[in-house]
Parts: sequence; C-alpha cells; structure tokens
Amino acid sequence: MAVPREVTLAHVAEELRQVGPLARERRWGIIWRPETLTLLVTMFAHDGEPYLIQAGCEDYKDLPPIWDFIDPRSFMVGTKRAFPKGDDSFFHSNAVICAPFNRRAYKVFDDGKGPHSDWQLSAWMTSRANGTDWSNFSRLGDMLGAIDARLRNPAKCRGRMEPGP
Amino acid sequence: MDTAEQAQSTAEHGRDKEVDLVVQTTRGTAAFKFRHNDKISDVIESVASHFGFGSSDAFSLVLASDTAHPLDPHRTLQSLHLLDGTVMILTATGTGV
Repeated sequence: MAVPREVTLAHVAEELRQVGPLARERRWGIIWRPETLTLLVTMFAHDGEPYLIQAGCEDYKDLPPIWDFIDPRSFMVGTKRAFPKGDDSFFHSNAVICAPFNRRAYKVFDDGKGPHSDWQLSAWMTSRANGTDWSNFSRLGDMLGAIDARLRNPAKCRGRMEPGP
Repeated sequence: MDTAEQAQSTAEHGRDKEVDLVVQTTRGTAAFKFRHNDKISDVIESVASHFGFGSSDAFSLVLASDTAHPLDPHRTLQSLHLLDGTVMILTATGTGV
C-alpha cells in the first residue's frame, strides 16, 4: 500500500487547518515536517507536565498514523518514561496508544508488538471497537483532541507511566 | 406567589432566555444559541451533529477557562451562570480498548 505523497500532504494540511483555532487555544505546539511526513506536537497535562508526541503519517489515510510519545528530557521514543499513565487501556501499559487510530495498536504492524490481532487496519476509520464510534477520530485533530482531553483531566492522567529521577 | 408558582416561573423564565456560546472542536469553531434550561447533553448533541461527529460516542465538554473539569451532562446551562460569548471546548474522548 502506498498513498501518493501529495495525497497525504493534502489530507494533513486540511486537517491541521481545521484544528488550528483549538490548537492555539490549548497551546499545542505543532510542527509538521513534510519531508518525512512527521507531525510533532507538544501538549501540557493538567499538572503542567509537558508531553511530546509524534505521528508518522506515511500512507495516511489508507493507514492510521504511527503515534509515539517522546521523552522531553532524553528524547527517547516510545519509553514508559515518555508515556502518560491513564485510568484505562487508552494509554496502554505497553506504552502504546491503544486505539484504532494508532497503527502501533495493530498486531500486524511492528513485528506483532501491537496488542490487537482482532482489528483490521483497513477499517480503522469505521471501527466500532469497544462500542466506540471511531469515525469520530478519523482526523488528526480528533486524535490530538482525544489525547489532550485525557492529559488535561486529572482523573484520566496520573503522571508518567514511569516516573523519572 | 407560593413556592410551586415560583419554581414554575423560574422554569418558564429559563425556557425563554437564551445564551450565545462559542464552541471549539477538533473540526472547527462555531457560535450556537441555546436556551438557559438546555442541558450540557443538549449542547454536546447539537455541536457534535453540527460538526459531523457520530452521536454514539463519549464526548467531553469543558469551559475554555477551566479545561480540567468536564461539565456534567445533566446540568443545565442556567446552573452554570454562563454569559453570552462564553467559549467552550468539545472533544470526543474515546474509550480504552
């Protein structure tokens, strides 16, 4: 599967335009790197802790983005130190955002490290996993909004999965 | 006026009065007009529909001035004492799966 680069660029441009006012309101720092099709976003949790998030968008939107948290101190990717601790499996204990909009959540991706063998990658935008209408998370802004809403809610974000020194 | 009449009068007053709200979402921002006795759940439903979200999902509606506390869907707008032009933020929150 290979989505033409210009198609992905058009999708990303439109979706970042839509979420622009909310991103400014919520003080997200957004950097889009078209040369690598990578989105970098900074957000702040309810306790002021900064989170750095990366979305690899190759083949978007035939496939969902590849979401990772980056440790803002060491810049290591995908570690538990980089990852928030939640109250359910959305912030999964494997340090994976466990949602159909994350390519890493699928077992067929990344040498089978993803938690879900029961999901179809091609159906990521129409999934009804866990009774949720995941079409509500079919745009980059929707995905960022879901992450941000959890980081800002003390009941949904309990610090980092692995506290630092 | 007895207590029952006062309660009825207050309820009717709430039905008549309206408040203009600005709601930001991940799919854009728009202005809406609601009645004072509309509930937060009514706001969520209207805004979600306006921006093409599916209605079956869990949403979080917060005041832009207090994003840490999602508003109770059962509360009325009247109980929040909102002024015209108040900015709110609606996001679909999803579930752990």
